[in-house]
Amino acid sequence: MWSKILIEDNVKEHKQVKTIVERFNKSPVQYISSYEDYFQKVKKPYLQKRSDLQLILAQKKGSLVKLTPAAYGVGNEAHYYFIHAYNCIYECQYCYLQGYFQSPDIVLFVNHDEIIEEIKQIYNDTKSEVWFHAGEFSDSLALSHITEEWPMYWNAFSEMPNAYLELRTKSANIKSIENLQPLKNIIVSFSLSTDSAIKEYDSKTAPLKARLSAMQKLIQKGFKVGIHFDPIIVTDTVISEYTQLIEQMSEYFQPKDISYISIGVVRFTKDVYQQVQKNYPDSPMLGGPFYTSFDNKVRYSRPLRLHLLRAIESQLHKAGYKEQQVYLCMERD
Amino acid sequence: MQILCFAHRLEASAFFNHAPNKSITPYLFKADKYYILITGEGMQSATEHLTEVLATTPEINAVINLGVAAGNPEQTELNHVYPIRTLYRQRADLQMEFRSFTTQNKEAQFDVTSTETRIQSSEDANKIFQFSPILDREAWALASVSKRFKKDFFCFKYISDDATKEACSQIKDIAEEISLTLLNAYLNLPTDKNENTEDLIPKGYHFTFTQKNEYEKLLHKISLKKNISPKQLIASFPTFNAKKPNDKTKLLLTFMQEHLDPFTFNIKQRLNEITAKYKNDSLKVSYDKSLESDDLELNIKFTSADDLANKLRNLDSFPFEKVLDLLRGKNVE
Ligand code: SF4
Repeated sequence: MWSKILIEDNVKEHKQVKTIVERFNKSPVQYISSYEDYFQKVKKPYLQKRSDLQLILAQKKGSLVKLTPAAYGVGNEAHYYFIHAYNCIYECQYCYLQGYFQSPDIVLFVNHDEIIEEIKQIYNDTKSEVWFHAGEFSDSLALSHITEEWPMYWNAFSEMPNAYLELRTKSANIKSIENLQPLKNIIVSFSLSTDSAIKEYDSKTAPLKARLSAMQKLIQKGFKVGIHFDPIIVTDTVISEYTQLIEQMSEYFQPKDISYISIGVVRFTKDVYQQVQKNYPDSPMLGGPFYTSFDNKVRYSRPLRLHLLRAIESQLHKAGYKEQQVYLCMERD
Repeated sequence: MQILCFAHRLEASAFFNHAPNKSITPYLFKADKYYILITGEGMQSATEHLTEVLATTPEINAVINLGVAAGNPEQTELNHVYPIRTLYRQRADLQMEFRSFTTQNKEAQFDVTSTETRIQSSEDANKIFQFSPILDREAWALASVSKRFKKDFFCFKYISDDATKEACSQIKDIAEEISLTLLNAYLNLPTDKNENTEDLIPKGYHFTFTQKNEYEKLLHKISLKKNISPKQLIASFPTFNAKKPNDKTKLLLTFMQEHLDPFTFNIKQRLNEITAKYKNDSLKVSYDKSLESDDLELNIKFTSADDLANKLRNLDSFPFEKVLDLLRGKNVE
């Protein structure tokens, strides 16, 4: 799977590192003094992830937990994200990582104890409820059966009842969490798109049915589960396809089983849009129709995106999802 | 027309024999289908030679670098030709240059690092193998110049040496064989099957420069969105009748805009219909053409207080609610 595994000298004795190296025992290993000497040292084209993907195991230095951009999450609470990985094994055509990093190589940070310490510090300093999101720069669960970090977070969050943890995924890989004790403050959220959009745009991610089955399994075990309908990509039949998706969801779980559903329409920064054009020049998604929006991002026209958000929100309400369960994300209007 | 770049004349011998050619300068030759450029060794020389030719020869649309290189014995085989994917550069201070270039060869799987200085030890070579398994002296510079001149770039490297050992092969002895192998690789390069955009201009229309640009953009986007070829799309266009060819072109472009984004097109049309009723020599209501805000603009000319009151009274019937709904994508069915 990996063309090479690079391991920082200072983490080579780490338990998680040993497990990962054992798991990928066919990949050549090289020890390095700092991941920064290799990762993003040269501009490595994004699509090289298909044939030449390196795995880097390292210690994250500097700030480990950061405030999210505004308009993030469900309520008015403080939202933070923590960085435990850079990049993703999947290849969604709209992924912003393709314009964010200068290399597609995967960096996994193994100093989770330090990340958790910083989370605890913020929790103790915050008087009200606070959210922590994993997966800002990677998929939270895609490699979790190998990296096995989540039990540590479960322990920590069991002692912080007012802190919420959101794991976000496009996988169906629940192996590493399904046998943990469900906690009311840990939400596993699944990004869902229509079946045709997943096939067209979410390369290597779990098929829709596999994601729905994984959700069902977690719900039956008592886990809190959220949904992201994001990004919605326009087709001539987009609304009816989402209506179908909502119907299909009802075969696996009920509205009351879902903590929240966020809805967002596809959007790009100019840089990411340029990368998408370069990497996927024949993608039907590029047919848009896109315009430059109020915040200088590339979006559908405002009437169209508001129409889409409203139409899909209304389908959710018709299916029994309550107003407070559904929120529209990253849109000023 | 292509230009084939070689560092040394010997590497090009088979190409000289392959097609009759005439000398333009001591280092530039012209055959029927390509130019041959002998760039000399090193990045400085390669940059100077190629820049001079591209600056004065606009008919060249693709640059192809062919030549010998040293390889990592664990990843490459001696006497093989490798099509190159990404080109990196090691600077004179032995640091890697951040900028890299990618060739247009979608099948290529091997990368090359061009070094400013000759690699003296296996230790130095191993450092570069972290980024690429092939080392040469010119390719990055040629790719850089090609990019600056917006030319397609391809690169093929014949592995004549093991990069971890001192260069030993006597290129002179095997030059003919090397050149023949490179010629073979060149002749197998897939030919460009891109449709000529001139073929995609429908008959009987007259386009200004701006209209032609818009037409090409729309054609590309609609083909992507509908997943059909531009030729199929053109065949599906209705015939437009207008006395002047320019009016016919306007009708075609309007039709295409509607085709690409029927929802937004419809909103704009309805907004135009409404605002047209409030448009005369002394009064004009307009909306934000980007549709990104609810802002409406009123321009009014008046000569007295009574005149102003009269004109404002005209606005009593302005359907604000309806206009706001349209701008927000509401009630548009
Ligand atoms: S799963 Fe998320 S992080 Fe991974 S490629 Fe897709 S959008 Fe990017």
